[in-house]
Amino acid sequence: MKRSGSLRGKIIAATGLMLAVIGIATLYTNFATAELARTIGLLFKGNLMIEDVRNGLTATSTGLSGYLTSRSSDYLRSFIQDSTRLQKSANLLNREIRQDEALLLQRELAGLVNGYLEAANAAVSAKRGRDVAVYTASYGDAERTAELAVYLVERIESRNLAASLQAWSGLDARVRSVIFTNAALVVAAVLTAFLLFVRYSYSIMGPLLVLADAAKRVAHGDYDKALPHLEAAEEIAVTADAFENMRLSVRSAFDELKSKAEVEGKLIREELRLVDLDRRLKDAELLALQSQINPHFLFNTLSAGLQLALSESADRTADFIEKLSGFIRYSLRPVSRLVSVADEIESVERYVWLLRLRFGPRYDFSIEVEEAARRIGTPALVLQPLVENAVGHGLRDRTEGGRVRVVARLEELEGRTVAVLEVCDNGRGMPEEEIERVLRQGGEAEVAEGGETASSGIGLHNVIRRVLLVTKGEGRVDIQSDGGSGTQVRILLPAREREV
Amino acid sequence: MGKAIRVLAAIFGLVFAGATALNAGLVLRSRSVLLGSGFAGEVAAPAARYHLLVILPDSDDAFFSHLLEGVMAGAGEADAAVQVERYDSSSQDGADRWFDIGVRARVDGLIMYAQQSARVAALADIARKAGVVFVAVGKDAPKYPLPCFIGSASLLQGYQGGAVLAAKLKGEARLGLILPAGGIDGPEEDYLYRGVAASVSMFKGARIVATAWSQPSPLSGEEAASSLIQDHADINAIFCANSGDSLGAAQVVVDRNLVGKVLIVGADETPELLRYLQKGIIMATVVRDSRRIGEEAIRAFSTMKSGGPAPGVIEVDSVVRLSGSPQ
Repeated sequence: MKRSGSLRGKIIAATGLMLAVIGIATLYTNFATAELARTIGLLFKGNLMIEDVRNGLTATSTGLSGYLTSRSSDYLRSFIQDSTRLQKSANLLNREIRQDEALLLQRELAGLVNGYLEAANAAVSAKRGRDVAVYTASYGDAERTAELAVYLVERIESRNLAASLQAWSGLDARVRSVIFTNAALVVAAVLTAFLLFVRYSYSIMGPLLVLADAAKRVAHGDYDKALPHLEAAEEIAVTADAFENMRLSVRSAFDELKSKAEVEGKLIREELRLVDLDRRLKDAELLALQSQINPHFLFNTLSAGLQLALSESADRTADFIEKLSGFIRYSLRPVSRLVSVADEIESVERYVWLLRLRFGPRYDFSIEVEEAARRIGTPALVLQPLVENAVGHGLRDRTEGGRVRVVARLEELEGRTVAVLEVCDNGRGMPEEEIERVLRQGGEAEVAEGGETASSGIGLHNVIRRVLLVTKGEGRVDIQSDGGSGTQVRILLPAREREV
Repeated sequence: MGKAIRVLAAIFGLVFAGATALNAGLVLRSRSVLLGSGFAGEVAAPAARYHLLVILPDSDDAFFSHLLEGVMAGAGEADAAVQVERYDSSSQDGADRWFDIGVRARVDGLIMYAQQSARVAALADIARKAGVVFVAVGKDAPKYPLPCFIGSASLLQGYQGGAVLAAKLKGEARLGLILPAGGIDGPEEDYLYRGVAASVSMFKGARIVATAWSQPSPLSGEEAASSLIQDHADINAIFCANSGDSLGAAQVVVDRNLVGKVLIVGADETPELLRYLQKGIIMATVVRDSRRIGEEAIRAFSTMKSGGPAPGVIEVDSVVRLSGSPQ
């Protein structure tokens, strides 16, 4: 924002400039008119002067003749006053010798007036002295001189009139030009002043209009467009700067709110996702409950079979039924529950006993548990599906030498202690694509129905999901498999002891 | 917008400058005219030492215009401002009034056309008493004594003109004379007549047939010439006393197809007269050197004003210009 003086200064300057332009034109036309009037006045100045002389002569002559004939003091006073006035008028006439006919005529007239006054005064003096001969002669002389002076006055006036007409004829032709030119001057001044006014209006109002547009945009919620570069008065510049700062502040606040809203939205979406996961967990539990109906019946039946075997002293069968019954009982409990690693290992030991019974020496099972890991909480029924998968898939093609190893221990990982439940086999392994698919599906909220093979039961996919759900994302499942050299599935759980 | 402002400012400036120039020109020119006419009472004309009043009859006669030229030519040297006043030549009152004005106004000098009258001497005396230098100019010196008179002798003018005609026509010369205006006595008393008569008398048989008086009218020459030719069919030559009458007589001769049959001898020289002379319509013109009269008059004024002696009577010569001769 370039600042160009104060608004008040601009308005004062603009007004002053406009007034100056019009004032100059007005003063100029006044001056020109005055000069014209003065010039025209000159045309009559000479005649007025001469006319004064004529009137003085007439008045003085009247006084003189009145006094000489009546000897009245009133006439004498009048004569003295008029002759004094005449002398003053005559004193204005040219008395120098100049090479100009009009001036020479004036000089002659002045000489005649002087001669007249001398003769008139002589007549008055002689009248007082009662010298009839002298005042008669002097009066005659004065009258003749007055007559000649009047003749000269008329000659001068006639000449002046001719000169006046000549001068006026030249003057009149130019006066029209001057009037036209002065009118053009006034029009030009008004136009210039008007354009100056428009110019300064734009200069003053332009930035205000830009500011108003910007305010409109802001009112409609557009905070992005910055104020264009303006060259404005100081007051407007200050206002514009303040407005721009306000716009930037509002936009910054809006951006902050928007960012916060986005974070909150993300949080809400995350919460919704968790709610959805919870719902799915419940669905899974319901599904598991539904699937418990028949196993429950089976469990009761097995309990009856155990009692029968004991009654018949069939110990091995009784053990079998007991192990199976314990396993089923463990399995019928909700899968989303948190159990201790010890309980989970115990369940796996039952399952392994049953598998040994089934497969005999075909597979070698080993279970290693660190004592410290036993109290750690774990989702229930996560090891059995892994062992089942190892036997059912990994070692399915092996007729002998199949080995399954179950380990539970604590490890330091990335600066924290985690419980590791590990199931390894030396079976055929898993293709990499299969591992990726399983891990990907296990992390997804939505899992297609029937996404698991029938043989896997509550399979690897279900284990992965439940680990994630029960540990709130803190736990995870790693799968490593070297094609043909077995599979290692590791469940990493937060090392928190299960609360009893 | 900025460009428009600059253009407007330029137009405003031009109009302003134009108006200023126009107004200034107007005022200066008007003032100049007014000052020239003595209205303003402001001193503009050059100063001079003496105020000289020249009183001449209001006549078209080239004699007076040349005389005035001579006065003006000498005015600078005499350091005189010349005031010229003309009067109606049909009356002497105008001349007397201006004389009276000049004397009562105490001008420094008077140059006045004087005719043969006793009053001229009285005027000269009045002027002398008033301390005004009086110089009389004219054609023939008055019979009365004057301290200063500058003129051309009509007697000589008449003699030179008559001699030209008589030499051409010899004893066959039958002359008609148009004498100058203002003659009171009979033609025989006029100096011009006497001069012509003196020259004609030298040729036996030659004679003056008739005379006519010139008038102040511009058609005086035509009237007089027509009258002479009409009344006197034997006239074969006309002698004129001034340029105006000479032109009128020439026109009559042309109109009546008498060129070469009636010879004309005119007076003085004007462009028109010289043109007639060149064409042979006018045979000759006797040029009075009135310019020199003017020069001598102002020289005499200057001499007397500075305390020198009055020159008395000075008569300048006349020159005869013949048709076909170099001018």
